[in-house]
Formats: sequence, structure tokens, C-alpha cells
Amino acid sequence: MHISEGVLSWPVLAGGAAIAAAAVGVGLRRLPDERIPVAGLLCALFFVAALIHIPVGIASVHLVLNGLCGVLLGWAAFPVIAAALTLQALLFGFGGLSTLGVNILVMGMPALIAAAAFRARCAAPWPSSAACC
Amino acid sequence: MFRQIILVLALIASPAVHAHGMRISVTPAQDGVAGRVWYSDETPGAGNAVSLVDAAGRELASTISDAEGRFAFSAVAAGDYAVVAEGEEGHRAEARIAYAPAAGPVSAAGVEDAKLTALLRAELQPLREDIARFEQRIRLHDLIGGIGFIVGLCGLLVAWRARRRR
Repeated sequence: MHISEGVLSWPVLAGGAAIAAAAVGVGLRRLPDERIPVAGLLCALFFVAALIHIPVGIASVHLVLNGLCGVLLGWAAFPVIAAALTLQALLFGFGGLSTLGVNILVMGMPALIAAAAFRARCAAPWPSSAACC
Repeated sequence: MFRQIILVLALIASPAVHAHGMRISVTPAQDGVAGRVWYSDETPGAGNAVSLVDAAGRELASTISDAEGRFAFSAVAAGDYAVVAEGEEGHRAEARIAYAPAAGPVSAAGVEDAKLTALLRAELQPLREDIARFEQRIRLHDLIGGIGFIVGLCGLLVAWRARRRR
């Protein structure tokens, strides 16, 4: 899920970066003041979760938590994922700075889908999240 | 409420994907270069395509890493090289090496320099791998620093919005 440097061609990277920047902008506009602490908390969780490895058969998987971000934050999951992925690339060497845009989309799109699925499934609004979605 | 909790739990668990950082180290060996591929959780990077690329960007040779993530290229000429490992799901790692073959005249002690160099390289290889692993290990202070950055970013956003409202 963390796509590394030098795997994708530059038109894909540039396109991904442009769409991701737009999505982060929309996300920041749709993040009300009172949800900023929750966004920060989820960002820290998302950042750390990539280090928790769970062995499954011969391979191992790690938590991504993008579904949870999407359900709790809606569009505001994009800036949260963007900040966490940037720090993971800089501090852990996961993925790369040039592939940041594509990685944000790869993880942010399922977050939006999860948010939509959650709202469709549970007609009752999630406590206090109605304002942000 | 119960249904919501179940759904949230499912959402936490389902997007788990096999992915972390891929790492590579490469050292000079007896008659070429050898190295190891591993993942950031210290599991070996087995079965990845590894290729030897020269300074001009031409691919000279390629191989597949074994069960321990090890690979070797033999009969390499002296020069600067890049060794590139490519795995599944967009993983890629690259390491550079300046290689010179073990060669030289017979030294005063009566041991051929070439043999001595080869011996030293074999002895030092585990040490060099350990150094590479330690260098690329994720440390606690990276983690704490990252969380600090996130707290700072939230503070920045709040401060900026408070300023704009005034």
C-alpha cells in the first residue's frame, strides 16, 4: 500500500499529486473546529498503526485504519491521511515523497467508501459526526 | 448501537494490507557483490526480483532473493553499481556500491592479498549486514517525534483558524 519511489511513471505521480492536493483542500474545508482534536488523534493512530504487524500465514499485514478515519471524519480523512503518510515517508522510509499523492488517494478513497457504506448501513447518525459528513 | 460497534470493528480490521518498508543492503563478496533484502518488521524479503544496474543505468544481471532474502551476483567487474530490489504491491529498494575485485601481489607475510581480501570480506559480511539493519531500523524517537509533529500541526490549524475569525 505504500508505493515506493521509482515504481510509477511521472504522469501518474503528477496526476495523483494534483488530485490528492484538491482532496486535502476539500477535507480541510469540511473539518469543523470542534473535530480538530479527533482528527489529530486519528492521525497519530494512523501514523503508529503502520508499525503494528500481525502475522497472517507466511506473510504479515499491518493495520491501515483508513476505514475508521473515513467513518469518523468523512472528507476530512484526506488531510489526516496526508499528514500521517508524509511523516511515515520522512521518518520510517515507507513509500516515498514523490509517490505521496498516489498513496494518499490509494488510502483516502477507501476511507470515503467506508464513510458512505457506514452511513448507508446505519440510518441513525454517528454521535456528533453528523456535522462533518 | 451494538451493530455500529460491530461495523466499526470490521472497518478497523478489513483494510489491513501486506505492506511495509522494504530495505536492502549490499556488500562486496569474494568474486562479486552479495546482499540481503528484508522488510521493516525484520522479516526476510524472500522471492523478490533483484537486479544489478551499472552507472549508465543498464541492467547487467538479475536474480531472485532466496528464502532468507539473500542474493549474490558473481563475476562483477570493478565499478559503481546500483542494486535494485522490486517486490509486490509497489515495494522497491535501492542500494549503491563501489566494487573492486579482490586482487593484488603476494604480501610480505606470504599470504596472497587477493585471498586475504576475500577472507576479510567473508568475515566482515555479517557485521556489515548488522550495521545496515541497525541504520535502517525504526526507532522509538522517530515514533515520538512523528506524534509530536501531529500535535503541532493540529495546534497550527487551530491557531490559524482562531486568527482568521478575529
